[in-house]
Amino acid sequence: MNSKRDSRQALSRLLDAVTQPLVAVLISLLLGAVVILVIGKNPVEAYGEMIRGAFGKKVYLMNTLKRATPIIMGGLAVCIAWRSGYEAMGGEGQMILGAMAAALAAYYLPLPGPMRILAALAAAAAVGALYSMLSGWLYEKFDVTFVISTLMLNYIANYFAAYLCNYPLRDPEANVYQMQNAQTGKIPSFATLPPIAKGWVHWGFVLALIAVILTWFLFSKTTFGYKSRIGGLNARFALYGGINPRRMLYVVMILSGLMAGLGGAFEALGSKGRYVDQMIFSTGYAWSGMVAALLAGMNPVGTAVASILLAGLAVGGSTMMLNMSIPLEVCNIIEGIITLLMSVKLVRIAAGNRKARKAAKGGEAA
Amino acid sequence: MMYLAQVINSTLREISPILLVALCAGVCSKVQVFNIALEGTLLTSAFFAFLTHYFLHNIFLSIAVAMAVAMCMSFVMSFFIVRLKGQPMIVGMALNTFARGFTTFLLSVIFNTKGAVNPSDMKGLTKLSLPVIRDIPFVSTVFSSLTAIDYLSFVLAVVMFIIMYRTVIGFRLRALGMSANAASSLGINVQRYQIAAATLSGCLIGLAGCLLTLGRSTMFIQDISGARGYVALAANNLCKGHPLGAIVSSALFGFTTALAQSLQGTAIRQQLLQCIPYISTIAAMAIYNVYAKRKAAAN
Repeated sequence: MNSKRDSRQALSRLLDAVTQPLVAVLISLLLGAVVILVIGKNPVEAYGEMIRGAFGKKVYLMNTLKRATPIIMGGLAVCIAWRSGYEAMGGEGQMILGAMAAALAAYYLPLPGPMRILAALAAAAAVGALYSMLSGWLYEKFDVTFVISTLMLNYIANYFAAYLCNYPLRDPEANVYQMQNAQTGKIPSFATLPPIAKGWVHWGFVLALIAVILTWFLFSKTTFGYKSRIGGLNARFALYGGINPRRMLYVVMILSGLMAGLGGAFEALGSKGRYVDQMIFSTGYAWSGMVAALLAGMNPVGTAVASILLAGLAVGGSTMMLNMSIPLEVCNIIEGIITLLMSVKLVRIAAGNRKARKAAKGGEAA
Repeated sequence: MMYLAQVINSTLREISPILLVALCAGVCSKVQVFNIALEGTLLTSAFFAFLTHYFLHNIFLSIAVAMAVAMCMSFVMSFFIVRLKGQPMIVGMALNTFARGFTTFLLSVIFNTKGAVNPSDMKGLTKLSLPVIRDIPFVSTVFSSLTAIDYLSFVLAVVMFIIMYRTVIGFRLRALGMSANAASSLGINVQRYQIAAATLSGCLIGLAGCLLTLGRSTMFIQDISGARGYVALAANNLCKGHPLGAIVSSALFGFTTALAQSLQGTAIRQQLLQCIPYISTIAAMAIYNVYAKRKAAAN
């Protein structure tokens, strides 16, 4: 009996959680279709291309999963920080520095194969965590709000990384006459994250999925989820309950930054094989991660699913651009509208209106 | 000496867009609408100012269109936050993502490029040359090639001060920001005021957008707003929404940007120089907060 009710409750909760994202995605796809119509293309055909280009063939699917890897990690970073009440948006900067740290460690450290990969991952995690702690420190010591500190730190990280790969750590074998983004040296193949099997996505994706499970475990099976939320939402109450909010702030920031830093490392070690100028900034991985986390209501598993869909949107979008010459930025427009619609509780507003109407009706009847 | 005059001059030119956006941020913060869509609004209005001028060659029409576009964006922002109770941060980021995608999309559809559009025959805002000032050596450099909007931005700061602190409407706006309940008990329709204030103040961002694409040079580059919206947010945070204070805090950021520009071509690499405005933003906020805390503790 009880278990039946439990499962029914779980089902209705799941429905609640899924309805709004679905509605948001549908509306934004419709608006995207209008945009495609306006430039004189066939939206049905365009979306067909998009889906085919994202999931239609194994190669395409693997591309989607590859792109999803840093997005998942950026999403987890947002989940961890936002669930605790710290609306930090520093994932981008942490990812950039993480990617840079991993690329440098894997290129310069004189270690044998697997050790070098581990060292690179550790370096990325450490750098991401430290950079995230910096914004926590600015908040705690100097009351600099997360919005401003993290946004500024993102730009600083991107310019700093651009400096590094343009001048002191530029690829020694780079052809100066070739027009291309500056980059660091090519990581030897034994120090990169290899594909799981031939023609498959690299191991970073698997590691990202493990991170998803760990985050889920942390939030649902330990007291950490509760403690961190209390620490962020009401510091005084937390103190009363024996939780040190200051320590919680740093723990949350470290975990969040670690995820973002690793996300950068997966991209550098698994996908690019080096740090390429603007590789994180121009692709907007961290922002897509934030949208994914938002779509999933800060649920780690849902974030992974949403990340894969958003990655599919971008990968399919580039196929659409190639085959139908529709600018890729349609995807940014769609992503923006999805986010905008997710910012409001659509379902709750509709339900609230219904309730209010019902109440009004009931009042009249009485 | 000449060098100093040039730095002051480029400081002045960097101040005005940030000041205009900060003034809008000030109004929004006074009525408790947390507006982080400033960046996207600035970018979109800059693009439309450019686009209108490119096709219609009319500067006044461009300014009007830019202001209208900025007000539309601000309306959507405030409607979602105030009326639909959207989470402000997410609404803002959504609009910023949208703006980035939308402008780049139109750029590639209309101009078939994703980088920069720099038509050579375009004439932007007229650079004013004031009668007496242009004959004084040092001062003439300081005030050279400023447009009417640059001067107007300082006037508008004073105007905004008068509106917010010396008129009934300003009083109401500040009152509803302090206590929405108290204001609504006085018969003020709080939500309507909030949306109207946020929407109308959006036209200030439109002016700033014109400065970016039609001011110093007439061109549009992808992401031309370059985080000025965020910097303005910080500037507004520093002056606690006071319009006259915004002049000072915008000047701080204008100066660091100008400094970074003037150091270009020296031994320090450009990418490191570009960090300066962002680092000083954080530093200024940290220093100010420590100072405010000390002062509060002393009282």
